[in-house]
Order: sequence, then structure tokens, then C-alpha cells
Amino acid sequence: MSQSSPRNTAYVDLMQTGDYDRFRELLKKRLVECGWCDQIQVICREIAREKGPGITAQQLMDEVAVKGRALVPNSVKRELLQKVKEHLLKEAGYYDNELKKKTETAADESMS
Amino acid sequence: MGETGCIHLKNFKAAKGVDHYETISSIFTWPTSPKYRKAKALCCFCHICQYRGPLLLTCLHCIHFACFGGKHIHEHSKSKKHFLAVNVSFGNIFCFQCGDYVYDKELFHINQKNKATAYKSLGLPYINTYKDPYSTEKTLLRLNPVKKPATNYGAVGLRGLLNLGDTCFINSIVQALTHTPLLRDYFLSKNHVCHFEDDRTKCLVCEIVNLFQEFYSGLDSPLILHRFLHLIWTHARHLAGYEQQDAHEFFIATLNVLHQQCKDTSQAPNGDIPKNSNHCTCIIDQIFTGDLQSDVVCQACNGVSTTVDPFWDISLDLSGGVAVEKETKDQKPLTLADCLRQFTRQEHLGSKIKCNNCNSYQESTKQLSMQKLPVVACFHLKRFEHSKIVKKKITTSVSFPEFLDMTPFLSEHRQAVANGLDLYPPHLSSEDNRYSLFAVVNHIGSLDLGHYTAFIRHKKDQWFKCNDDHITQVKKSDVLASEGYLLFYHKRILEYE
Repeated sequence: MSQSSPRNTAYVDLMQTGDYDRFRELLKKRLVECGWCDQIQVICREIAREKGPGITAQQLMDEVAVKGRALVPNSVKRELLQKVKEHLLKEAGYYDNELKKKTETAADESMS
Repeated sequence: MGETGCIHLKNFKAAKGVDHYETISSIFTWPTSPKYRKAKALCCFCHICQYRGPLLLTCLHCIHFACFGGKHIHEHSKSKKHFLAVNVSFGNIFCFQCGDYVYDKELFHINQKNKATAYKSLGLPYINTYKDPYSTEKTLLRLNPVKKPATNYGAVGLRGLLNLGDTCFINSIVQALTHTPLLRDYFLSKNHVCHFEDDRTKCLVCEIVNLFQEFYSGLDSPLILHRFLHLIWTHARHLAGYEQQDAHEFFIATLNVLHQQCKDTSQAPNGDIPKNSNHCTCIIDQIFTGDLQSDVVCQACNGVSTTVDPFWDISLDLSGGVAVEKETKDQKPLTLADCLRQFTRQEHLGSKIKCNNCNSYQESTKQLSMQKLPVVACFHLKRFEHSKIVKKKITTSVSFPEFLDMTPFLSEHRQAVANGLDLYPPHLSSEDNRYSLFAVVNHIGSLDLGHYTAFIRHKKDQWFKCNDDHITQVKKSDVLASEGYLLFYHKRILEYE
């Protein structure tokens, strides 16, 4: 990812306004709600028990990461994607034109 | 692993202190100000492969950002002999000599402190899930080493209540309240902050907290509500005395006292939580309050004047025209939905009232609808008639369902229908407004000589009849066939705000 890619620009914008952390918090909340966090905890415990006390965070991570990603419910992914997209479009002024049109027509109606 | 991390981190701290860590944590992990957020946005990526992700680390010695996955931080550590790094996303410390993350209590607390500040600056609620248990909690944990599992069967949560002389109206309301799922969750998780610090015995909310503790303690001997009764008498004087009172009146009075006493505390901490414009954030309002919209339409100019009022319960007429009409015409019993339709129908106002639109006195119609639904809907069937001429109990039977969909009575839905868009059955994106029955309070006997009992739903779809200190299991059909005075419905799907 280069420093001037659209993805990076979006990231920098989201991070500066604090919205990145707001979305991160929302995601965390959803993952707790749907039981994902508990599931992961159970999986981690099982692996740790299997491998014994010498296990490192990296070894645990390698095993859990793939399973964990697959376990995230689609509804959570969709919601986050939708909200981030909506937010970026709004910030970029995508809805401004429509709003302007609406207020114009409303103004026309009240005039006539 | 101990509380001070590994020997390498210990040596580092001895030589350089915790300032390095404090800087990284407060600027890059949990940026505590807009300036720091900007710094994080512009600096935090792997300077070799541009990676920005959860596995980005920064060197604790010289604040060099590099990724873990591509092993760029490993390269840095090897070439510079800087063996400690911090995970930028979470603030955990990685020791390259140990080959793993290490835990240090002091640094952990610095990180938590910064996280709290960062959340506060963004207006996010911060819950410290890592706090050490209080000494009282530690003692309790030591005293109760065995966990009590909650099963789908069993009597935990069922307690009989002794009758203190015509206090069955209190008993049945207390049974309904203690079996309200969301109230139970709130009170059992000790969320209440009492503001009667000098004398907790004055606080009805604290007494309710105690009651919930008693109900779910696992004991099954009947409870005596003397403290609760005394508090009600002091806070709602019109209910004092040993006479039989109206259960509905008592329910509203109880909610009112609880609301008054919760109000101040719920707004004190976390000032950052956005508040609903005119709603109180106390637990009572969160659960029981809905908004009733009243539209008065002028028959001359069609001007609509709308007012919105909060409500805790819906009182439904049984003596009105619809009840009589329906019984004679269809021979079918009146249903709860009929009563609600009657409640929300358009009615002509008797006298001419002033229309703000055309500034004249005109015939008008009035229609009620639900603008916001409460989480718990309490329906009060007006069985007691206290008119000037007669005082009697109306025994008209009203059938009420186990599941109730409130969508047809919503303002939004009414509006859509009026505009020709029938949203019923609701399409996918609209809210689910279905409710399920969880408690029924019944009145047996006459106006002067009567008795109150309650049916409550317990655990998974079991029903019990609470008649003071007698608790018996009943069939769901018995509950649905009962007369019904107060009906409590709980929303099935909760929306997040």
C-alpha cells in the first residue's frame, strides 16, 4: 500500500478525526455481542492446553487467526463495511448535492 | 510470569524509566488529543513495507515503526540491538530476547490510563474491565469458591412473598418487576449508584437491589417486604395504610419513586454519553418509557397539530362502544388488539377547539399512535369503573396473545399507510416490533373484597402462579385464559442506539 493510495488517505482521515477508533469500538462491541470473543477465548484455551506452558503469543496467533477470521459473522462484516462506506461518502460530500437538490425543490414549492 | 515482566524489561526500566513507554502509549497507542491522533495517522506504518495493521510494532528504544508479520521489526532489533518493542495497536511489550510478549504491571496501568483518556476525548464510554477486585469482593470470592450454574430448570429466582395484611397488590407487582428480564440484568449487575450516602435505608432502588439479590439467592423461603413497604409509604404517602390498594396505581407510583431516585445518579458519570433530547437515561425510562403521539386534525383546514407525550403504561377502555358492539355482533370475545385499535382510532372531539393553522374554532378529530415503543409494554385493562353513578368491576373477557406485534399502532406505520405505502407485513429493513408476554397480574373478587395474584414467566418458557407465599407451576394456556388486569410484554428484539 503506497502512502498516497486512496486506502491510505481514508485511513489517515479516519484516524485523525477519531472515527477509526469509534468504528473499532463498534466492531469490538458487535464481536462481544455475537459471542465471537467468547468463542475465541475457548479456542485459545484449548490450544494453550494442548501445547503446554511453553507456547508463545505468535504460535497461538498463527493457529487462531485463520479460524477467528472465518468465525466473524457476515452480518457484522456487512454492517461495518456499510457504515464505513456511508461515513466516507458523507465526509467526501457525496450526499451534499442531493441535499442541495432537495432544499431547492422544497424552496420552489414554497414559492409557488 | 510475574508482575514485572522479564529481566530484560526490568533492566531497561531501571536504566531509562517508563518515559519511553508513556510517550508511545499516550501518542501512538491511545492518542489522548487531536494533535496526537494526527501524529498517529501520519507516522504509524512500517517504514519498510508501508504496512498499517494490528501487527505493527515500534521500538521501545528509538521509536522506529516496523511490522511484525514481515519481520521488519526483527531486522531492526537485530541490527540495532534494540530488544524491546511495543505493539502499537494494543500497547503490549515484545521482548526479542525472550521471543514473546511480556507483561509488566506498571506499564499495563500506564496504558490503561491512556486508554481511558483517549476514550474520554472521543466521547466513547470506557469500561475498565481490568480493575482489581475490591477487598470485599475478594472476601466474597474466597467464601464462595464453587460457582453456581444457572440451569433451564430449577427454582432459583422464585420466592413467595408473605401477605402483611392486604398487601397482595404489592406482592404481585413485585413479582412482575423481579421477573422483568432487563431490570433483573441491571439490578443483579450492581449498576446502581446510590445517592443517599448518609442513609441508604431511604433509597428504594437499593432496597430493590437487595430484593433481587434475595430472589436469586437460591433460597426458597418466602420473603417479607416490610422494608420495601415502609419505603413506599414514606415516598408515596397516598398509598400508606393497611387497606387494599389498586395494583396499577401502586405500579406507577413505584416506577415514579424509582425514576426519581435513579435520575440523578445515571447522569453523573460518563458525561460524554450522548443523551436523548427529552428522555431521562435512568433504567426505568430506558425500559418502560414510550412516546405517545397525539394528532389533532382540524376538519376545516386539515391542519394537524401534533403533541408527543411519554408514557409508562397504556390504559385500555373495556366499557366503550366497541366492546359492546363486538360482543353482540360477532359473538367473539374482545381481544387485546381490538382494545389497542380502539385506543388508537380516530375520534371526534366533542367540543370545537381552536386550530392553530386556520385560527378559528373548528370540529376536530384526535388520533393517538405510538411514536416510540417501550422495551416493556404494560397494558392496564380498566376493569374498575369509578363513575359518579356506579362503582363496579367490569368482568368483560379480553383475550390476550402470547406474542404481540405492535407495528400497526406505530406513528411511522400509520403515516406510511396514510400515504398509500402499506408496510405491512414489514419489509426486511424495518424494525421488529414483536413482544412476548412475561407477566400477568389478575384481580379476583369484587371491588370491595378482592385479591391480586400474578402469573410470571420463569427461565425458559415456564409459567408460575404467585399467590402471596404460594407458588405453583401452571400451564401457559391457564395464563392466557385468565381474566387479566395488568399485562406485561417484553420486546423480543432490542435495537441498539
